[in-house]
Amino acid sequence: MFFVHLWLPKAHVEAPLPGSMILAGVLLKLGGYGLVRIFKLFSCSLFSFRGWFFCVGLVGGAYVCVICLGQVDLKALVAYSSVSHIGMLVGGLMRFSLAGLKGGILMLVTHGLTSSCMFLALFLFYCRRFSRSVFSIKSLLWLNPLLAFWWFLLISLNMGVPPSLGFFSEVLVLVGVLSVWYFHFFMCFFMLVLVGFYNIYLFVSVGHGVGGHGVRLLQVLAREHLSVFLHVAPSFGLVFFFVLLCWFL
Amino acid sequence: MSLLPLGWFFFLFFCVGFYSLLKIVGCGPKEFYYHIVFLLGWGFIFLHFFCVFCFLSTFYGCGYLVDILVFSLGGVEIGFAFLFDWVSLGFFSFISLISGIVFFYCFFYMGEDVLMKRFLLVLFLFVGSMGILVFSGNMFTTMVGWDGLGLVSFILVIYYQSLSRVDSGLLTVYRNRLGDGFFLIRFSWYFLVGA
Repeated sequence: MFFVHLWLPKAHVEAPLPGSMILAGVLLKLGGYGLVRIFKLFSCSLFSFRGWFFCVGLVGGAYVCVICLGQVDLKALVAYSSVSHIGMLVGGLMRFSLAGLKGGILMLVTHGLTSSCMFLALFLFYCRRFSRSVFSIKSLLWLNPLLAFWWFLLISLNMGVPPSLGFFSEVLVLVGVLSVWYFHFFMCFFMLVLVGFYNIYLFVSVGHGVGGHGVRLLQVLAREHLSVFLHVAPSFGLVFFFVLLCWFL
Repeated sequence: MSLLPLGWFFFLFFCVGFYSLLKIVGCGPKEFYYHIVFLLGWGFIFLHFFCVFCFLSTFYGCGYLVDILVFSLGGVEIGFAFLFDWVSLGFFSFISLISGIVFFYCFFYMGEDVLMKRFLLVLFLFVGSMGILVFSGNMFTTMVGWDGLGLVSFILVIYYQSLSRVDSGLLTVYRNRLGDGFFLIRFSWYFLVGA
């Protein structure tokens, strides 16, 4: 959310890798869990304020996406991306409907997997190049094509490309938000588009560009590939789990 | 309206494919791309004739809708649907003809490229996304094809590493994403108005 999570990037850029991964993957989701637990209790009192929550969640999310486009520290960019996704979660939850609730929970699950994996993939760079700046991290498509492929999958998961879990969560949240008033699409549209924009910006700044001086082919160990794979695979695989769940419900 | 003649086409296709696979298995790295390009190029040109045959014979005046429901939750029903009629088959016949020619052409044009494998893979994904977009029978399948087309064309445009390529690629993918935002809003709105 825009106002209350702006401390997050400052904490992420100072934290070590496991701290960042746990903070983005688990701890942020505890906030969402708390919201889901108490929102039945406070639904009567919060109901009249839901417009404010839509505004702060979705328009603030769009502003955070614009902030992302101006980042030079890639770890701060990934941290800001989780701020914008939490905004979308709040927008879905404050509808107090089944579609919004399920969409918010799905958003938590898929974003927990992708953001922690993005921190991991950044750390693989940081070990080898000792920098997180966009000016230093470049030309991954040439240096290590398999890692570039992982990055491509990660940004497509983060921007919600259709067969992945993020797409379903975005659609369910949108069904929740648009059912209040159709003209809420003014708020959702900029957020949806800008999420795609900064993800593409992230992929271009990481994967593309001429490497410059002192470039070696990056050697990435099998266990590092495995740990990235084990983050990426559930985000696609959980779709099938979700389908089975819906069939049996 | 019998689907029986299609069986002979599939039989022929699998025979040619099996023969090509046998040749691919026992060849060196230099001939590898030659055989792959041979297989893909002739495969797509074969697919062109197959589509033309289909919409002239079996699909003349009728169409088939394959609908696969993926999930349904609180009134939100999402699934794949593919529509095979003379319009989509006519479109795809031209797509497959042109992409078959492109596969042949890229062997002469980019045969010395180091990353030939990646180029062939991305080109194949591009044609596959176009196929999904053409044969799509509902909004969700259209979005799968649209997003795949945008991202894969972006990868194709930035294949060479220079700043002007990045500019063109970003222009492509940002416009695609703009359309994708409208698609998402429209897609969600369908569930609310029931259209």
